[in-house]
Amino acid sequence: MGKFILRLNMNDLSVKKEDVSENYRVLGGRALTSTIISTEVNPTCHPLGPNNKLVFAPGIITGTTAPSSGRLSVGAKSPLTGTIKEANAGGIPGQKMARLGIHAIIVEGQPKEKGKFYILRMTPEVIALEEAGELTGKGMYETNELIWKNYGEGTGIIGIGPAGELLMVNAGISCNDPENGPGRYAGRGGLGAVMGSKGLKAIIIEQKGLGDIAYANPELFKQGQHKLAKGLQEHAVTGQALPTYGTAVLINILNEAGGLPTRNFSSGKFEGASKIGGEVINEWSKTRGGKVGHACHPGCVIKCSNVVNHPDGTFHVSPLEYESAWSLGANCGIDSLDDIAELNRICNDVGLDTIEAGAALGVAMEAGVIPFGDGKKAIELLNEVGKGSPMGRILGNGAAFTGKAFGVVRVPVVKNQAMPAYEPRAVKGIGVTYATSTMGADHTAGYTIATEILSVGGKANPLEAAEKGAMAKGFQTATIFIDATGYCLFIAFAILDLPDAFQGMLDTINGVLGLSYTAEDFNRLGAEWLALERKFNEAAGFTKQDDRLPEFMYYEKLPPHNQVYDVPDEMLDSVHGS
Amino acid sequence: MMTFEGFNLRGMAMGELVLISKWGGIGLITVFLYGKFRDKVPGSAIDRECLLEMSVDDGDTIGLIIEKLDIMQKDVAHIFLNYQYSTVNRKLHPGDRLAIFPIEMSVLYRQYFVKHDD
Repeated sequence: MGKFILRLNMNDLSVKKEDVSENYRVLGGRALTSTIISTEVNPTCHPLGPNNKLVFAPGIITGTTAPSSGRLSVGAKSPLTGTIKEANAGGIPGQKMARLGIHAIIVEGQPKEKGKFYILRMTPEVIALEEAGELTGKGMYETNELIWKNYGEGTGIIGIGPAGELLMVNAGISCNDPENGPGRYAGRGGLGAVMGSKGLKAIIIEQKGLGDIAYANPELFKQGQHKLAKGLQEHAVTGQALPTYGTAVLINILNEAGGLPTRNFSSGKFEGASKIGGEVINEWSKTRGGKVGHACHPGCVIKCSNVVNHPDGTFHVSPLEYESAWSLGANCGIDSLDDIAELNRICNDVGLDTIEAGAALGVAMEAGVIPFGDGKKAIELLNEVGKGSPMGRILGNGAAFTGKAFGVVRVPVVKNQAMPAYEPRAVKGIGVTYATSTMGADHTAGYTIATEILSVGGKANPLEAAEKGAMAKGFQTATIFIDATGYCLFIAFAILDLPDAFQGMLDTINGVLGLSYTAEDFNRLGAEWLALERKFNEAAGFTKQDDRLPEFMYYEKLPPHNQVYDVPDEMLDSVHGS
Repeated sequence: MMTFEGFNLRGMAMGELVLISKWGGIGLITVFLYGKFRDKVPGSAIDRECLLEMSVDDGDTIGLIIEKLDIMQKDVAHIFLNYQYSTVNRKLHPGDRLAIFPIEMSVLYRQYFVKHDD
């Protein structure tokens, strides 16, 4: 079975198969979504208008049996940031898409009938657009339940909740996990609103088994698979910490680093941190049931996901990640993990990115809409989003919009996208990534390095700044490469430390594509793809003046380090300036 | 409650800090323990801060404190001294805040932090 691209034209509700060119054949994930968006989308188009396109692309090795490799990338021009955007998710649909031979799905145009929604159904025999019918307006839990009831258990689902249907720019795109939970989100940048603007409620994929993946060099692939799996199991982070505590282990660690943003980025230390971290989630898995070491897709050996139960042992939410426990917890001054779990469940149901949702709630608390720390009132407020009330629409449009609505100055965003859970005044290197990423404030856009290592405190020597800027850029190019492969970004812990694991990753890619990529290609290709994204943003009107952190961080000292953000503009400019 | 030879300490397990005794040293530091190191304080709760107050002498290092707590250095993933990522070589002073994480909690983007070393 050859690979093909599926073009879905919502103007006339047609579905067309296209051949995959050699240029596109070697691309996957973020490299493919960003290449297609750069080629086919006018950078100045309105993100929710008819000329934007939404692209779904499994990674290069997604669908294979390589470990932790099930990622699906989604790309478009973002209605939140106005930049090019890629967000990726785990869950089961990416693997199933790849195993049906689908290289990418391009969704374009808009249906003539406003407010009408469709589903794209794909099986090995049938690809068809159907009316969404009773699914329209439903939350993601009910949507997934109905789809499994009507189309069979194990069906892969990519969908949007009410926030996406109502075109709120904090709407994410849900992917279901093996138990049909909707919690695996391509969350960031409002891609759910783009999907809503196309009248597409869901993509459902009925596919079983390992499908028909073509390996150019099966032996090399197997060798690589073995090396990488061994590295992931041996490394303390991917083999021990993530499966034991999940990502929320970082709550106590960042708190001790003075870098856990608290009460809308007014402190780097939260007194309730011990109540909301990975240690408590691990303990609850023993006392309440639930699970740690949960895999978000078959074949993941890291298993950082979890299942969190109510006190009575019934299911509450899955997963509860570091970013969500922080944004809906410490950032709102909320120290009840049960309340945080409920806020997370609402996000999963309504279809919201948890980082942006928590940041918007934090800004609303700053404005006095509800008090910091009041979990029950936060739950009431967040429930407004799904109702589409005026308050719900304010929150559902993100932190920057909420800040404008209530006249708040302390709004932690870059290019309108809320910052994740690392305070740049305490962890200054991450501020470089937030400022210069092509995606707005995004912790997954590039591993980063301490500015003390970068030696950029005070006034920068221009030559030195350029050199250090190149280092910072190196982390972004490495990240984009991993995002293109379909591997989970967490493999980086192992491949950065273990040369055999790194080679294993390259071997699997070469084994699939029949190429001979080396570590140099890893950097070269990453740099090319990053330049493509940067070019799109420049054509959309972005300049280096947009590569800055919000002004308050330059004059408000953050306790406990009592530091402002003092990385010079020259350093930020040098990241992409060379 | 617990004692370690040569050290006085007080532990907070259930939200109340209890002074056990005080002898020797030039003053007290506060040690925050995480993960399996919480077991060093009997009755500690997973959802509360688990801390000890320990006396230090002039020139005492983090490594010495770790040794006195009967913790193997290979079992330590991260150390923060006064919110700074630190090596075991740093010297301690009265009033310091020291946090120790076990290897099972080694999720940290190491490149984010400089390891401070006296």
